[in-house]
Amino acid sequence: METQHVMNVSRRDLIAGGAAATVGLTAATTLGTTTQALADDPQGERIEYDVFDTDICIIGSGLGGVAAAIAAVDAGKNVVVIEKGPHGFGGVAGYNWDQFINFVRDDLPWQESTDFVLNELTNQKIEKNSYEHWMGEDRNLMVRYENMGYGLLNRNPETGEIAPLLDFPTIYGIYRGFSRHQLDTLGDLGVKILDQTIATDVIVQDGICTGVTALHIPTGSMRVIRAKATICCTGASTWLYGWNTVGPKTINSPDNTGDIDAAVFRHGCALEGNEFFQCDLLNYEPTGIACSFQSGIGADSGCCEYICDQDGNYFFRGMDYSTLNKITFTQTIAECIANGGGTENNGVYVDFSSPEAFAAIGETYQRNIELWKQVFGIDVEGTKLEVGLEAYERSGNPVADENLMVEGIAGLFSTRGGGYSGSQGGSTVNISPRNGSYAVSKAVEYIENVSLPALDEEIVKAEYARLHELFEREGGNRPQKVRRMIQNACYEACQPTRTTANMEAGIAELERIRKEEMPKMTLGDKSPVFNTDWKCAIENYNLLDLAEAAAKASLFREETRGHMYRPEFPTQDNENWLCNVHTYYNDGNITCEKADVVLADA
Amino acid sequence: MKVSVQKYDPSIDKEPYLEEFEVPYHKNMTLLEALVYINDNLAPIVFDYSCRGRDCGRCAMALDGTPCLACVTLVKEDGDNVITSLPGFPIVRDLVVDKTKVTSRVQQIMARKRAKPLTLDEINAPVDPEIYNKMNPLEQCARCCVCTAACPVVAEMGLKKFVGPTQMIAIGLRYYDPYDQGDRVVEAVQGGLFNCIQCGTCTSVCKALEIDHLSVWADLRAAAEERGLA
Repeated sequence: METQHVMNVSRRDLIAGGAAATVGLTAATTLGTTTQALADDPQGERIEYDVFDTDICIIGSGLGGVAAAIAAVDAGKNVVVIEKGPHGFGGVAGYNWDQFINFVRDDLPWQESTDFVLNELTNQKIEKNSYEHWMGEDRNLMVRYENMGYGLLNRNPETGEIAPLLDFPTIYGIYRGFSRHQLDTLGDLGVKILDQTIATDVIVQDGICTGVTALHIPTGSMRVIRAKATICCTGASTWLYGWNTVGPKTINSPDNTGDIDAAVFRHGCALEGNEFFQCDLLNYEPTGIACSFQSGIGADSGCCEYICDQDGNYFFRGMDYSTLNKITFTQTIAECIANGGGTENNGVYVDFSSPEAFAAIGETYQRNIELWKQVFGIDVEGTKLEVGLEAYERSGNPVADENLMVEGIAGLFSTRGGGYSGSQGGSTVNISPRNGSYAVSKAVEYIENVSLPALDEEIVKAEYARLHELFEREGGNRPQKVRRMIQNACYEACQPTRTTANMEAGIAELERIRKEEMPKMTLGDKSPVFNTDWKCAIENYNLLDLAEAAAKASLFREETRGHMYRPEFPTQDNENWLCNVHTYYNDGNITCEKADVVLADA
Repeated sequence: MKVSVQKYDPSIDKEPYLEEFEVPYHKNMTLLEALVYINDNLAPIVFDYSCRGRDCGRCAMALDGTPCLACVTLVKEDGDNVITSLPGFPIVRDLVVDKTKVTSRVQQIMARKRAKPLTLDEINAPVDPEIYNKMNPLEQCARCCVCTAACPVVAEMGLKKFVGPTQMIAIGLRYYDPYDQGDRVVEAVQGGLFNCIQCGTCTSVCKALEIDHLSVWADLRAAAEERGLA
């Protein structure tokens, strides 16, 4: 059900911060009765906002969000999806990329299964429950995806036989999972997607989440989505990690600014896993497509043989490759760089002098060789290509219980509940669908006994004031400038080779930005229509909070684990650090504490 | 390097206008790099992008009048570098357009039409390699609509007479798709397949290099002719 609400608020209230503004405000009503209220208060500024009432609100129409929406439809619930990108798709699922689908295809007990997430720091309760949520045929993502209108999963071009890349008793993996077909499926199911809409905060009334406040970017108007349960599917907040010329050192999307994770953090909930990232190697040049997996050329752990340092040492050779995984791959490179093997850019090389290297880099990179020739006139054959570690995922998600419900806010679920990936750093492409579906199954149980309280308009007014106060500032840097500062400081502290000096410098800069830059950050554009300065400023608060959480958790963990290498603490220290790190936000102060790993039988 | 950018705020401006900027050039500079430089350092301009690599289609616009993806198109050091919004689509602000008139139709076309869900046995059965090799490249379509914006038939006759290459590629994909049970040949003919003049402009502007548009049109035409639909 969609209604339009109108309230009046004076400009003075906004400048004052607005949260406690009460003068000249009308009560929330549906359209039709508000015109009268407006006439009664000529001094007030007319504020209209759309209200959507639904059973389940899903934030983000990515890999987790689509599965969540389908699960909600299957359960007969009303569902509204909020998506920041245009045309119903955003984030990485909105890339039309050749996603590698891999999944566990048997029903082995969860702890015996070769799941890509399970490791020593995983929240075992979440992993067990989510794993057991899809059993039998449900687990087979081939069937699931093909029935969602995918193309044809990878075939042998000569025989037409299905051709997986991984085909082991437990793990199955295959190319051609073009994720955008998932969004087509949502359209076909009639799911309402509010696109070009940024969720700005969760609405919490008496400790219960009753929906979200949001901003419709093309019009600059506020939206309120009231829901009995809210599912956060906003992916990895990797847009905070460094900067090249058009993007950070990540393959991810500008949509990935961790808006809800940061909002939940500011509501007092702990974040977990902030210090862990996941990386692949990607080109630095040409700069316009640096770290862009979609058009870049790079290497992952399948290509170790051809990776060398700046002195021509092929430092992976001689290693037992069967022990290499994404984590040790990145850590090995980080250690090489720490020991002086890195290039000026802290990169390494992929040696394309042998044709075998092309075969080893994987199809998605191979596709781009011809593009480079045509657009940039660059032929990488026979060259050593300089590549650096980009972060394709990062963890740093709200601590959640075994139902993926965020601890501290009832009714809010997170498909990336803290600890779900442990030290893997949030590699979720193949976990998000089942986590999304699992979270909704629990949300459906939860909402059985929930009725929404009346909308507290003070919350809407306060959020409106917070967002619009940004227009009033003068004399500071534009949000884009501030963002580059955040990104560069975050990279300084969180790159895989983590020296204590760099981390401390990064943290000091983030604290300076919070104190000096944020309060006077000034919009260069005052229009309400598709104001990207405004959007950038709103997101900067989220990026800064998450960047500082990531930087401080990274410094706090005094060992080498996961993808990172710390020269001052070069070994894994299970005696002191077989634990998670929880990060807390208290009025702009971000602190870390150790937390026990959640075991299945605890 | 000189760069002129289209500005337009429908809440203020009567019509779009150009604003000129001086941008420091570097080798292999993409149009997107120039835009980010201007927006970061000189003045606010509104544009959208995401993947920086021809997969999301969000940075579709026009350089010196030619539709393109900003992420994989180079600016010229001594060129005019006039950047305007994607032709034929309503402007939301500056370089951002509303493409839903095409993208929402593509979404509907892409929904695979079937009486019953596929089974694992059907999925595991071999498919004709020729069909696979024809269908597979079409998956790379990013739905950026650069081809539709560049299409001379769409420009002259409108989308009602010819749905344009973006939608026709989606029809072609489902026409090849052995799992789809819809009548895609009729859909193609109704979409103006025979109004297409087969000039190949779509292929020349498309950065999904795998897609050979004209061969798809030829297959659809042959199927239509065989059924007497031409």
